[in-house]
Formats: sequence, C-alpha cells, structure tokens
Amino acid sequence: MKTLKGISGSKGYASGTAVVKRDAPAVPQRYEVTDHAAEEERFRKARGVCEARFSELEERAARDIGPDEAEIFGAYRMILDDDAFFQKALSRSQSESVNIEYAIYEECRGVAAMFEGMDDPYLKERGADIENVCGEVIGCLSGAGGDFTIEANSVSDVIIVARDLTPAETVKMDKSRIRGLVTERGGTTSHTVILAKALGIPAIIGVEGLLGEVSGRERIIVDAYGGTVQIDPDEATFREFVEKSEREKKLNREYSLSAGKPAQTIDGFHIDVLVNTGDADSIKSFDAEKCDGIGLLRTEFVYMGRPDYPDEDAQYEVYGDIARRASGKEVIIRTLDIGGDKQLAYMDIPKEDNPFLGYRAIRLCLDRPEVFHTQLRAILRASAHGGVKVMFPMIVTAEELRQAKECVERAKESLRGDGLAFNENIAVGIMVETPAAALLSDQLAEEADFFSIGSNDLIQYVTVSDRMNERVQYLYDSCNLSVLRAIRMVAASATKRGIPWGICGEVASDELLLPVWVALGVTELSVAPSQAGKIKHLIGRIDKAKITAAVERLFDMRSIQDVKDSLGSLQGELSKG
Amino acid sequence: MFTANATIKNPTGLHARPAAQLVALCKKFSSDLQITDASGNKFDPKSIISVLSAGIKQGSDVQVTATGADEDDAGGQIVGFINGLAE
Repeated sequence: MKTLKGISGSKGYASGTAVVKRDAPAVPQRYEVTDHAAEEERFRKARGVCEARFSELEERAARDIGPDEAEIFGAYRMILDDDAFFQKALSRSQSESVNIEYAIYEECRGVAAMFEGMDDPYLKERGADIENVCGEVIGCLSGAGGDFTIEANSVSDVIIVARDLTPAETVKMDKSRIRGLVTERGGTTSHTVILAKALGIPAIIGVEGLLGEVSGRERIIVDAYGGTVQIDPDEATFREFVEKSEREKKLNREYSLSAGKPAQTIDGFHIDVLVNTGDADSIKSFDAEKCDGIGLLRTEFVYMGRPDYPDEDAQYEVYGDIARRASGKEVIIRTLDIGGDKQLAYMDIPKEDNPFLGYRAIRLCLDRPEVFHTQLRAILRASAHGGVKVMFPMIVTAEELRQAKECVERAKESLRGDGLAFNENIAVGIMVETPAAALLSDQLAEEADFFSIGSNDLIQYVTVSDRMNERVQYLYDSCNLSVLRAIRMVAASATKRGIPWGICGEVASDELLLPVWVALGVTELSVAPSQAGKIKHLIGRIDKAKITAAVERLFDMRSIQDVKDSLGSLQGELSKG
Repeated sequence: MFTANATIKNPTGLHARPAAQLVALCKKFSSDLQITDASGNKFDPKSIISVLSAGIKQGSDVQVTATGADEDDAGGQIVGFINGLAE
C-alpha cells in the first residue's frame, strides 16, 4: 500500500482500477549518451514491457472484441520483434552518441515516409503501424505511451491516472465507467477538475510523483475530501473506505432532494442556484427540474470540431433547444469567448506572446462584426422560446459594452426585417472577470442589466497568477483578500443599482466561501450541475443576519490564512446548526 | 551457402499474413538469410519491415540465399514456403 497526497479538485470518494495515461511528446527529447551498453539495456527492457503490453491487449481484444482486432496487436508484436529495424536504431544511437528513443524516432520517420509513399493502400497503412509501435517503445523509454482511452473503455470502474487531461481526451473517454480522476498537474480550475465536477466524480490534482508510483491496473482509493490517493490498499483499509463512501452516498441523496426546491436562507433570503454548461454531454444531461436554470451557457463548443464558422441556423438549433428545455427558467448565453487558451484553426487568430492579455472574447467579436452578428441573431431567435439572456465576456470598458449593445440592436433590427420572433426586452449583461470591470462596476451597472462574476479569470487577473501553473497556486486563491474585495466592490455596485448579480466561476460552489456570497447579497450562484443540490442545501442552513458581521470582518484581515481560518470556524458553526 | 529460386504465386504477393508467416519461419533459423528480387533489390526475410517494404507482387521470381550452420534446412524450407503459397 502506498499513499500519496494531492489537492482536492472535486470532492468525493471513489475506488476502482487505475488506467494510466502516459504522455509521449511528438518528438522525443534528444540528448547525448556515452554508455552505449546501458542504453542498449534500457532499450531491451522497454521492448520487453511493450511486448507484454501487446500480448495482453491481443488476448483482451480476442476475448472482448474479436479476432480481427486481436490480429492488429499480433502485427504490432511482429514489428516490435523486428531486430533488423531496431538494430539500425541501436547502431545510430551508438555512432551518433544519441539516446535510443531519439534514434528510434529518426529511423521510424524514414521507414514511415517510405511506406507512405507506396501505391499499395495496404502497405501505405503499415507505415502507421510502425509509427504506433515505435511510439509505444519511445513512450515506454521516456515513461509514457499508449492510448489510455482505449484501455479506459475496457475496465468497469476506472480511476484515470494522468499528468493532466486535455479536453480532447475527456471527450474520447466513456464517462459512464469513470469513478475518479487523479493527476500530477493542474490547478483547481483545470479541465480535469471541470470535467470531474460536471460528472460529479471526485478528482485529486497536483499529486507529485504519481506516475512514478502507478503503472496501471492497480486498485486505487481516491479520497478527494482529504486529497489522498491510496495505491493497492490492504483489505481492511479498503473495507473501511467502502463504508465511508456509503455514508457519503446517503448525504448526496439528501442534496439531490434539495436540488428541485427553491433555495432560501433561514431568514428568508432567496438565492437562485443555476448551472454552468457548455458541452454536448452536459447539455444533453441538463435537467431543468434540478436547478433554477442555466447561469452560464458557454458557446465555444458550437464553434469547435468543425471546418468553418457555424451558421445562424446551426447555432439557433442549439440555443433554441436549450431554451425550450429550460421551460421558462433563466438561460444566460455567453457570447463567443475564444482566444486566450482556446483557439480555433479557421478563425486564423495570429499567434500572440501573451494570449490571455490579447485578442480574445469580446475584443475579437467586436473586431469581426459579421461573426458576432450571426451569433447574436441566433441567440435572439432562441429568446423567443424562454428566459434567454445574453452576456458579454471580458468587458474592460463601458465603450465595449455600449458597442456590443449596439450590435444587439442591429441584430434585432435585422430580425424584425426578416419577420423572425425574439424577445424585444432580452436582458443584456456582462461577465465581470477583469480588474477593470470590477473597478468600473459602478458605471457598468448603469448600462448592464446584470453582472455575472467570472471568478476563474477574475482571480487570475487580480492576483496575476496563472491558474494552470502549480508554482503560483498559492497566489491563485479565492481567499486572497484582493479578490474578495474586488467581488465586494462589484456586489456593492450591483446592489446600489438594483441589478441582479451572480457568480459563475468555481468559487460559486465553494462551501467555505458560501457565507461570504450570501452576506454580500448574491442573487444567483451558477455552479456545476452536480453541485446545485448541495449548494441549495447549504444555503438553507445559513442565517444571513447572523453571519454578516463575521463576514464583514474578513475584509480587514491581513493574510489568506487568517481569512481561511475565520471561514473555517464560520463553517464549523454553521454545520453545528 | 544455399541459393535457390522461387516464384510468388499468390495474388496479394508477399503481403499481410504471408509476409508475417515468412518472417516467423525465417526467425527459426540461425543462418543469415537474404531474398533478392528480379531487379536485384535485397531484403532481410527476418525483418517484417524489410519484407513489407520490398512490396513483392504476384508472379515475382526471387532468389533465396542462406549462409550459416542451418543454411540448407533454412533455404529448403523457405523456398518450399514461397512456392507453396496458396493461389
């Protein structure tokens, strides 16, 4: 048994079988090697590991899928067994004093190119086989390799173990089998965490040395309350864990009962709890009975995985469908937030040194009015079917908001011309996710119909710390006083003007901070669908009048730790009832 | 040294399964083996990559060469295998 510590990204308990994702870079690292005998030995070992892996996959495929699939792995083994080929790589490694994975990469490139140049379609494909086999060997040598999603789909209770997960990978996996995620990297708002929260499964991130300890197929216990991962637990530990997670399940059933009811504090303040969505999976599973609507509909997914911009009808189909399914409840549609870390080939966005401070989101939309116009028309048409509101991301000046609102008016005008239905009084709001918007919130409140605080970006921009960089995670903290004060400023501006304000970032579902949002008078919290019931349940245990003084004191504290300690004791009092 | 000629008769040539079977057979022998096609290109029948890259088609005449302790046994079996490939 081995225990590793990490940070809880999505709370919960899970156990299952480890499926390891090992990353292999496109081009392996090249470095000088002088001890050729040692290099040869390293190769021999890696080859043995790959051989065993192919044999196992061959057997499994024969048993679970069919003989044709099994044959692929037989062919892989034969390529792996090609001494003449690998001898060339070993000779290159020796003569050029270069590491063996790089030598294999070079040899493979030559052979693959030769096969690709052949006329015969059968032989053309063999180049890919050779590349796959070499990729496995190289991966093995550099501690990576293999398409884990295939393996993940063949195990019943999967715990995914990875350095980090990309959005593409999370799409490929059969999510019904995944019980938990454990990664070495990633901050608390990484894709891994967002996926875990959307699926309602536990995730532990930032587990140092993880990939060195897990080779795959081990039994794993994930305690994402304490942030511990146990590899190969003994029987007693495992049984104790199972009991604990049973108790947890019971509590979750209570939360799920709360999801369908309105959320109200003990002293009668009502707060809407909505959900964030924005990918095909979570839209499909959206259930208007279990929340008060959609507080953030990200629209980027409509633009992804296609060769060109989606046209108005394609967009309208998506937005209109969700508006109807929300059966009159609020649906806040955020206009395209592309750029920064999210890029699309057909948009042809020039490469930037600093994409997070560059050409993105509303800046891009205002610069490409035809793209914006198409989306606004689609959103407006959807507003004919329910409580659709439109929201602009990344606003930093009032001029931008005015310009974007003019675009909405133009879209309305053109729809009128075409005789298409829409809600004339559609609410137009903004994301408050930049320090600029927070500082200007008093003025912006006069021109926006609502505010939604995008805490993920706001924390990042206020504290100037990248949420993906684990070395600066200590700064990327929602309890950072600068962040809390920025939110208080936004809350005050909205309250003064009497417009609704909500939070749609990760902090909206942060149990510790919930009393702060309640005390500041939040009107809407938009959270991952799996969190809605719990947040409603917790709101019901808060007496706003009783906590307000304690929350006020937070804003004058002098350290993140002091804020956390106070919030901790406040939470302790609340859970006592 | 063993040397003999053989003709590939099966329609797909030295492809897929026949190629794999040839390699599996050749690996049993310790002798150095070589197959030379009609245009003089040589390939190593113990290497699947080499066999496939040769792209030997139906009707090709090839020369089998074996050098080593089990050269006669190897050469004989390889020629037998190639000539015996199914139509």
